[in-house]
Amino acid sequence: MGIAIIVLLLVGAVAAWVCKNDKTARLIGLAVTAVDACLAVAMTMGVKSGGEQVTSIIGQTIRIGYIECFMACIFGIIGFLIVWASMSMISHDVEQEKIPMFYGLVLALLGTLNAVVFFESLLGVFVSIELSSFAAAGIVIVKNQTENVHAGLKYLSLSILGSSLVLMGMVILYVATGSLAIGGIAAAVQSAGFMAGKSAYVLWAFALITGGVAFKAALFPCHIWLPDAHGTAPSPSSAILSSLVLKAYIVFYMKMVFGGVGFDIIANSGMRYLLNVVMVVGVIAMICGSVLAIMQTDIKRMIAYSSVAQMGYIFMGIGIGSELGLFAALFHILAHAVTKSGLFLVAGSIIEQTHNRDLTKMGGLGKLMPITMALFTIGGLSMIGIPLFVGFNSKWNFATSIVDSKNYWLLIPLSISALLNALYYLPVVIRAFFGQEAKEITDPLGSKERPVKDLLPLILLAVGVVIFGVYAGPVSDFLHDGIAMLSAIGH
Amino acid sequence: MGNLFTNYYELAAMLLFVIGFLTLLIQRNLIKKIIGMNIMDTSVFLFLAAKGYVAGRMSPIIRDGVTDASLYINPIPAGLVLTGIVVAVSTTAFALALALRWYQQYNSLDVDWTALKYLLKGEK
Repeated sequence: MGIAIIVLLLVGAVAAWVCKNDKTARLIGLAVTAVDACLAVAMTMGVKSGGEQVTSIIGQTIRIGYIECFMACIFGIIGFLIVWASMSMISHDVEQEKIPMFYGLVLALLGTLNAVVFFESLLGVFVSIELSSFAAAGIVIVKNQTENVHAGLKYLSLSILGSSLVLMGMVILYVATGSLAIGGIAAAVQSAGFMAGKSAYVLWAFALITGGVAFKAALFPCHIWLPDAHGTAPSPSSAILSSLVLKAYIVFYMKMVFGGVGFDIIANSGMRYLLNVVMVVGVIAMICGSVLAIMQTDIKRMIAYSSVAQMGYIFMGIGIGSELGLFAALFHILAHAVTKSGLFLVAGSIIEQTHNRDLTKMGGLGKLMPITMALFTIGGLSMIGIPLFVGFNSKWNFATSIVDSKNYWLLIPLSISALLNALYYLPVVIRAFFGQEAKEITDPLGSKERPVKDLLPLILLAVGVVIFGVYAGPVSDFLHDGIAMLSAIGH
Repeated sequence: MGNLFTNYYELAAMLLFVIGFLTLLIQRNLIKKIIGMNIMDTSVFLFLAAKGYVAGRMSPIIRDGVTDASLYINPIPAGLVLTGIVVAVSTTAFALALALRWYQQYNSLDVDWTALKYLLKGEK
């Protein structure tokens, strides 16, 4: 099943690229992502009733547990909604003859992201990581403006730096444990007396992998490529890049740390110090990302810096190093994916309709585009962490995991960060609904709302924000089972 | 892990990595940046190859029907190096294509940020 998803997306990518006709390419994109979403849900049902699926292809093991299914569903369903929304938006950003290339790159990106998550063998993971960074840089550059070329170059070079570090870490782990699969590494690391003799290898390897993943997933000091890449890319690309691409690398990191080393050894070895560093850097990212977001005047750059802050939350959850911390981080992956993809698509709609990216000139927008701004409000409130929206559940999970692990001081940055989120999302909403009308966008007056059929995927994402905010029980149970399954690898 | 002198391959790899990394970050010329990226990749390959080598053993190709694994060096790091080289080649090609686009736009390979901002303002 896992192989079927990867192969389907890659074949779809080639088909969309080759067809040369933008209408056919759109149809292929929509159809393939729809089938991918169905396959991901079917795979989740299969794994839920039949247990882990382990297969192998070209000598590389693929292990599908609950967490992999969870990520496959996020990639499938949110990828489908973004591609659906891009049907009506993409021609605003991308030239007509580049549209087949865009859909080809999007499908290739989704396929390689699934592969990053599915592969248990590190060689397969490494190749997929590299392929996905090419495709991700591609969907930034496809807009073909100079600032996109600059952003793409920056993204590409820092991605390569990140994957070099990850590769080095993988080899040190291989030298120490004699295995290139997460299961084998776990078996070796958890064997008696291993950490006593070879803990230095494991620490160095994980220090390098952490550094590499920090570049790939934009942890604060290594985030410098993110605002350029996400801010200048076409809006559907920004939505994919921030809600899906960053998450694949983080899940790989979670699998390496909690599957490959395991909770017991983390608690009793030098890995604890490494994760403490990850936790503190995550806290700094939460605060600094929000402060930088407040300073922005461009709507897409503001949302991009908000992603930096949200990555900080996820890394803080990983750094707590307990099962509840990992659960909070995984749930935040879902919360951020649903909310941020909606926000980027809303920002894209606003830019498309008013030709204005400047936040200070959005007064009165609520009267011109009431549905769009209502969707922005839902996204913003979820990011701040207001109850009834998914962001609140996520922050609640972080708070319980902090209290559980007795790192009480973390509650202070958590609440400060929520306030900072409010400081940059609420002014936009207030200005749009109650502020003085800006001449730049209200002239000529009249509704600038996009037709509801084009807004439907955005509305579905907002419905998702509310549904997971009110009724998150099944997902939480599923993730708890998934964490138990992950920590059982290698036993 | 031994001391620095017995592990001189690793030392060289780390030095090369830092040289490549600094070239990538500090140089203003795009071609020099790409060269720095290549040096960085090469240092990782040196590191991998050094990790896979065991003194006194043969390359991992079965000779004279000898199948005893303890007589050969480990082929897996070499396989990783090959994969990495393929990736590095494609990255370089991609980056050079982007550099070409850059040059067509600005007639310059300089990526100095202030100069770029000036140029972008000039466009509007």
